[in-house]
Amino acid sequence: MKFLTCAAKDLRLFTRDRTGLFFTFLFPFLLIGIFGLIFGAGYRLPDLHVAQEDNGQLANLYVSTLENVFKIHKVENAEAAEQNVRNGLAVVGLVIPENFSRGGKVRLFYDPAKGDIAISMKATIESVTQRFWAGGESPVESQSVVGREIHAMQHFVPGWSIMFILMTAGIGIASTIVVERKSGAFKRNLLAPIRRGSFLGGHVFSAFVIGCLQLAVYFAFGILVFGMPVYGSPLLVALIGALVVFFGVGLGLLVSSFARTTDAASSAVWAVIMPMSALGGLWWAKEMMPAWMQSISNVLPTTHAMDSFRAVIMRGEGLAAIAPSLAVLAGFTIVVLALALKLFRWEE
Amino acid sequence: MPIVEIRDLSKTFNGRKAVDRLNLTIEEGELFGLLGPNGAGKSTTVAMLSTVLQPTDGTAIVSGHDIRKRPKEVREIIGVVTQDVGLYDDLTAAENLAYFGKLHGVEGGKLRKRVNKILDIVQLKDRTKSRVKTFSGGMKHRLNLAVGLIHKPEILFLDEPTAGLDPAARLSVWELIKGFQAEGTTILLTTHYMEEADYLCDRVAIMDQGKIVALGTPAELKRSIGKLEVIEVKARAPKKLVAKLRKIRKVEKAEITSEGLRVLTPAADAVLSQVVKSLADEGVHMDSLNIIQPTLEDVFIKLTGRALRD
Ligand SMILES: Nc1ncnc2c1ncn2[C@@H]1O[C@H](COP(=O)(O)OP(=O)(O)OP(=O)(O)O)[C@@H](O)[C@H]1O
Ligand SMILES: [Mg+2]
Repeated sequence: MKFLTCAAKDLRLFTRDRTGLFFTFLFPFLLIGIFGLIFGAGYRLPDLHVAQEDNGQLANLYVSTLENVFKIHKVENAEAAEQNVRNGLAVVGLVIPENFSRGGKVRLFYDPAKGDIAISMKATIESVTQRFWAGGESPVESQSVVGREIHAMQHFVPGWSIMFILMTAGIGIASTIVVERKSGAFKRNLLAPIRRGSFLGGHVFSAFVIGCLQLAVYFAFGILVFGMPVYGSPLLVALIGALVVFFGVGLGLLVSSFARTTDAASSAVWAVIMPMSALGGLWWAKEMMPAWMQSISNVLPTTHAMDSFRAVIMRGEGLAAIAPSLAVLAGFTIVVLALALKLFRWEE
Repeated sequence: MPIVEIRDLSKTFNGRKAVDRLNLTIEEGELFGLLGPNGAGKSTTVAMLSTVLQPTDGTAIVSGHDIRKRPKEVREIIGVVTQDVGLYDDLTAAENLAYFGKLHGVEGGKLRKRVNKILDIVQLKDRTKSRVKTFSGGMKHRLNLAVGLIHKPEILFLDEPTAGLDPAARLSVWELIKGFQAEGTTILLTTHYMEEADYLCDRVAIMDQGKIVALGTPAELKRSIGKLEVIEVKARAPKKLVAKLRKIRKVEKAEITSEGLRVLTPAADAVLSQVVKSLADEGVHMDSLNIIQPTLEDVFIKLTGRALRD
């Protein structure tokens, strides 16, 4: 169990590095927080999804009245209006029935779980409609619907998690080994009666512990501070996270065989992770990128990690659905680790 | 009883022989010195004995274990202090010792006791909880020595334990080393300071270009070069002066060393005036001139025709 001794030493060194701690834990909060406040708070009035089944003059007049207050998004039919509320694409869906001109009641679907916005939209629609009919009995039939929440954090938390976990694992393990080599501590470890595997195992294990801690902390931050929902299994989230950590560890080990200084080590890791993050859709949805870029994106491990996270977190998918992406990620991880072990420099 | 037996040990780097068919035995409890100039192969020898460098040929038996076949067993009983410091700057003195102690299988209460004792020995008791990066060079050096001893090794390899230290620090390290030997540890020490080998070692092997050129107690070695005297001049002497001095009759050897000039002769009185004249002719300013008994440096000069440090 000598690898535990080695790992405990690495963890102790990690806690002594204040800058490292800042970039590992606080800096990501800052970024997630900023992006969360910009995109995630949802203070913008969401579109009103409207299914207009009556195309008469009166109905058109009614829609244009609503347009004074809301941005209207037309949908196919009543089912679509309800479905969009259910799967979180809309907060409120409105159906203008065929018999609207003859006094048919407007049907309204809203998701009370969305809070004040849903309630105030519902109230506004009710009062606008009431005035449109100039009084009379309530012309709106409201129905509350339990909708799934799509939360900006469901993108930013996994996105930034992948990036920062890869950075920390990669830079962490590479620069620790570079410093050990430089200080002569590396040689001294090998002079002890331990197996080489224990020495490397210690590094891998300590990096793994730190990576898992990061994952837990970032997700806790998203969930507790921003109310990010996770629809799928937390175990799957942990599984994807673990693969991401190992990929970062492999990358760090690989870099440690070439880099002579800690600066070179972190530059090398940055140079790999940054483009992978941008192209992998960690900062923005990859669907926003041009098609040719998406085809590059589809071969990157970061993309597969992100797709798996999104599938589990946003859509509640199970293992079967993400298995292909996990296989790609695991494949990359194994190749990088194998290469790192093969090229690792034991002698000067 | 020999505790280390080196048999035809060789190491070739890119076709150049760093260590060339070395044969040596070190007795239990002995303080054995490998004395040689830069590049003689001392560190390479130590690295092979401590199993971190694979020999090209030959082997060594350390306390009954073959270094090639039982490297882990060998590492369990040896302590190694390499030429460069191998410490974690961000761990404290005690944490460094505890970490390497644990790697050697020393645990719990035993480890705590040993850490305390060893910090006491190397006079770092008051800095137990300070991080190593706050230490002076000398303190790091002492802690580095301490790490090699944390697991009470049977055999201690010290590779240039005083290189780069000022004279006072060197003296205190010498006392430490004597203390380690008194504890019963067998010590193999490498150095290119002849005073160090002379003062500390029971036996010395003089090494040059991967080979042993002389072996014996310091006294035996000094006697071995015959009845010679040494004119030791402290001065900055130009290279061409040496050729001139060698032409003087009865001068056996003349070499430039790190401190100045050494002239080996069977009759110092007879050649002194000519030596001084040669110096004056070249306009060399002398800081001092002494006629002394030969040292190990002179043994080396006699045997190889070169100075230990050039
Ligand atoms: N890893 C290596 N690769 C190639 N050559 C090496 C290597 N290590 C040592 N050498 C060569 O082997 C020879 C012996 O080196 P070594 O370090 O053993 O000498 P040393 O006696 O310890 O010298 P010093 O007093 O400078 O420490 C030198 O010529 C050196 O250049
Ligand atoms: Mg050396």
